[in-house]
Amino acid sequence: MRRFEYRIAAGLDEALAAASRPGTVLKAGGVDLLDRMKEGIERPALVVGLQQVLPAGVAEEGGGLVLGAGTTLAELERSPLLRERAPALARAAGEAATPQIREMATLGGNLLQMPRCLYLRSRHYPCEATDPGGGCPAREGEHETHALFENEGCSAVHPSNVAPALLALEAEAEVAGPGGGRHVGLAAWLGAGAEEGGRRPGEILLGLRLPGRALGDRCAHAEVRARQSFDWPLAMAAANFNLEQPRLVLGAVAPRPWPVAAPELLREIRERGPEAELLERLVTRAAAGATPLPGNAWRLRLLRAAARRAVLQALHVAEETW
Amino acid sequence: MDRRKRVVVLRVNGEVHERLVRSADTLLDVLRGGLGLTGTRRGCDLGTCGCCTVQVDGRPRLACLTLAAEVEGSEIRTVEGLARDGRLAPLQQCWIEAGASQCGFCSPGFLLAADRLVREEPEAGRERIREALAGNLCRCTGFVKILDAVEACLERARAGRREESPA
Repeated sequence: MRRFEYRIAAGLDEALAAASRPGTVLKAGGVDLLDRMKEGIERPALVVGLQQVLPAGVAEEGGGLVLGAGTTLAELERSPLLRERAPALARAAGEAATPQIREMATLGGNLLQMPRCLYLRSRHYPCEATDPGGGCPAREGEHETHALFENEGCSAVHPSNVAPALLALEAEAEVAGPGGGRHVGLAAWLGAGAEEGGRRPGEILLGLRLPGRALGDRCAHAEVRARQSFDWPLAMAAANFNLEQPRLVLGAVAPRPWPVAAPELLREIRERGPEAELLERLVTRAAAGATPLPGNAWRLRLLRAAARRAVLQALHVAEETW
Repeated sequence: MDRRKRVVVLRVNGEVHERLVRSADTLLDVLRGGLGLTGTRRGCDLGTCGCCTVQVDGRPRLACLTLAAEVEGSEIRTVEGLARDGRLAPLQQCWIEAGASQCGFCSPGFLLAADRLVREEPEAGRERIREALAGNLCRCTGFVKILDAVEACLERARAGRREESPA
């Protein structure tokens, strides 16, 4: 790694000032950041540690749950509160990476890590993400793991394991920024432009709030990987039937977490149970509108499988019966 | 002084060490280079192989992705800290008996990941062992002997407890 200066931010003001300073990066768990620095694609002069700034832990508050952005994935996985009231999230955290990495990686870092596109993470390829208009080398090259939806520009998928579950749980982000703090729906913060509530320059994610209406044991996360562990999902899905309006959100298939717009079908499934025909219509809807690339259309079947598993598990129906 | 350097105080296997390190030095750099504790291996150096696994406050972590400056005040344990009073830990003994080391390069990382499981989940079965060791790669054994070693260690500890309290 190239040399850098390292400081631990004493408070939020110092961290916010650092967030807007050129040549400076903020560090939480640092799993992704140190990888990028070792690969030479990130070369900061100053690294500012956030360990004294980011809240950590899972707590009950006003009927809902509050999660600090500095909570490790291992803490989420082990949390009795989450396992009971938001099992989809505990499972999603526990499926990520390896036991060692889950002890280090934070909730905030998992959401904000750089996408895992080999071209984007290489110094040798100009691409849409680093040089807009440069074209996406994955389209002509290796794109098996790239996006099935919204892949006209940068086709890298959103890398977070926990994002689909968090969206299915209607998580709200608490962020600090140069202009003050705000609360914003996580879906908008991750996926929308700055004018629609999306992430603004210099903002720091402090935590997430899961509303009481979304909590309960009728939610699940399912993912399909090539290997049983330590692998990136080829498709994942989180379903939540605790809500008045149930939700299904896909992951690893688009540059952002991908909510499935099927409100009536999801309500019908909650009322009548996951009957085969309803489930078939739902997974067909989940795949609708996809624009797969030549080398990744086969993953549409995995997307359907992940959606199906998440729904069945959320409703506590054994998969073998279907 | 160069602001890219700093003095850190590290507590490793119960001993306190003070060293001048670069901010860019990882815990792995300091353990191997500064302290001469070369039992912790440098494999991929990118968080993929698990060879550099150590324990920080009892939890397995990757030394190659941990800045030395960030573990001041923590209790760090490496493979050199497993044996007590010149005697191998039961886990290490089981490792030898099962033939879980071949070239031995990955063993320290496996041992530190497995030690956490043995301490915290005495009832763990084969499936939990596999999950706990999912972050460590071995290119010799095919993993089976490693799983056997950890399973034998857990079983031996359970048998020992049954003897102590026959009720």
